[in-house]
Amino acid sequence: MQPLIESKKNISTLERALSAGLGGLALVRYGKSSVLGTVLAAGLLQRAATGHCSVYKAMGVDTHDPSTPTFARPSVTLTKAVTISADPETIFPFFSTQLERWVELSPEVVSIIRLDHQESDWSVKTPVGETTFRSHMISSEENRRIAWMCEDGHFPHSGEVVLEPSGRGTSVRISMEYRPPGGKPAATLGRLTGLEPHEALERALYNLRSHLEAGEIPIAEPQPVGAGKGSAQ
Amino acid sequence: MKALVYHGENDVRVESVPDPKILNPRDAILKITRTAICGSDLHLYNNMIPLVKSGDVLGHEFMGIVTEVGSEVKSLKVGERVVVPFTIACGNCFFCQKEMTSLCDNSNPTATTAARFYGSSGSGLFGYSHILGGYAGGQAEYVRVPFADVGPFRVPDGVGDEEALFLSDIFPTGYQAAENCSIQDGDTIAIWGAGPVGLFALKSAQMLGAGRVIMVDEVPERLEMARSQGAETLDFSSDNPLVELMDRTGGRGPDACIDAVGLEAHGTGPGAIYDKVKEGLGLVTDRVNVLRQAIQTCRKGGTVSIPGVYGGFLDKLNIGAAFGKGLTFKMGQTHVHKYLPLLMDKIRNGDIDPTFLITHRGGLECAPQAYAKFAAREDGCIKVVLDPTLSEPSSLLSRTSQLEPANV
Repeated sequence: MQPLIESKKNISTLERALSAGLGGLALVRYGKSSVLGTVLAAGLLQRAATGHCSVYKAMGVDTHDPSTPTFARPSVTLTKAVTISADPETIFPFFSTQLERWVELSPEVVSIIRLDHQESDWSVKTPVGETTFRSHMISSEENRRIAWMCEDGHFPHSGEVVLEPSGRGTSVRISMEYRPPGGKPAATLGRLTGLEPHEALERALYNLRSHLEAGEIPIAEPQPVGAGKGSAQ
Repeated sequence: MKALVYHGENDVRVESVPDPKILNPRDAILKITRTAICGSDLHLYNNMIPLVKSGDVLGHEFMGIVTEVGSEVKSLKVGERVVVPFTIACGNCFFCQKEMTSLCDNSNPTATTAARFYGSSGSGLFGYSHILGGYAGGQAEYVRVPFADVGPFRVPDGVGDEEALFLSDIFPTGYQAAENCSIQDGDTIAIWGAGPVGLFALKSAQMLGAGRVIMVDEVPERLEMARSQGAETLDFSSDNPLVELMDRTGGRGPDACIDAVGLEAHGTGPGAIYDKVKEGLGLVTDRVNVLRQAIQTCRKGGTVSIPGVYGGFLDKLNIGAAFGKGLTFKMGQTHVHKYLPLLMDKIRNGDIDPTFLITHRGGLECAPQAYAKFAAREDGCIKVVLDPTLSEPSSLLSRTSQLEPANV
């Protein structure tokens, strides 16, 4: 029978004892005077009794099992597709033999060093500073599909690009799976605030489209700006 | 150089800014010989458009002389006199190839921001917020024009600067608004807003075969100008358009309705009061009163054409009436590039003299005063044209005064 409450333990013994103590204290102090106090006390006592915390689960945090890192970091998938008026043969090299071109196409990419046809070292800007990682190409189908993986560095992720010809050019679809610190809630917050790879990926694909269709990437700066510049109204 | 700079709500100033430079191979630099203030600039002036930054150079209606071209601009030469579409277009993408240049995929550097708001981004525009590209505008002495091998259109000898200037926006915008009505010979068209776009929509509707055009406004000078151009008029401050338009069309309603007002609609009825109250409470982004009236009065199976700018979410829109009457909606920014050759021919052939609506002229320093007058509809202000080549300080002159023609 399916238990009504997910009971997989994800809290350490010490934390359970602390929750029991705090829960008891809250019950005595606020149990009669405040509904919020009663709910808080009940939550802490349940946490102590079951050893399970739903908030930790959502954040991918586990302090119970010493074999798993505290931040298990569940993965987040992002996908983005654009249609480009060019054939797959023109587009594919940007993901294989001409990877270095992404330095021109993406403002977030600082440098790319291709070590051989399978491995490349990337240095990219993130909201919390510059980070580096080594990407390994794990499968490739000429002009059709390419997939890569990166297990080390500060940005462990895997990704895939699929090119599909259509009547209006080629559909370029990128899927990436990564493990953000703080789990899915942090990724959602990051997406809302723009501090997440989604916007950078979108901009890079738009720039690839502009480069291939218009021969240049649209830019507005540097340009004439008056005094008091920069503050949005 | 000198340029008109945005500083905040109802605060624009002329000041010195760095000169523009070629940034991309398909760029050109223009010395501006005439620039105008558009009704949609007032949406920026009134702080109705998000992501306009203090320091931004405004202006999207301009023309001038090419002073510099990028390495990939082969079709344009230094010294040529051109008028520039306010919509920036690459000419190569799916949308440009279909002449829908205001939807260009490749001209908005801030396309990801626009996509957050609208799902996808339209083209970049000159001087019109950091959603639509953040490009410096043309109320200045010089301007950088991206994709200059596609946009700027040569002005033939014999066509003056002021005659060509409005091809940058309001003439094609009025024309597209009328064309979107699919006018049949003898149709009756109602136009809300007898400002510059509404007046060009009137002239265009006449060219396209409309039998009657009824213009709705409340400003006496605008109604008078509409009458002088052959329109019937309806003053909404004294007559209810919902009643009057049905009455004047034998109870059927106009064959097509053009909303040349957009998000800052005024009015006198309950709908207008409702919009104003909710706007005051910060609960709506756009005042939608004109659009409601257009939908409510349009005849069954008719078309509502919207050249007026909307930016956000519309409240209490009578979409049920639109569905019940099987209306067609057409809207959006103008595909200026598509209309330039046709409309330039009409000017050259003498079919229209677009300067009829100019009420004020001056040098660039007059721009802050002109914005204030235009926003308040003071002094009969309908259209202001500025000449940034005037070296001496000048004052804003009403229509009876003429500037020395420059570079004509």
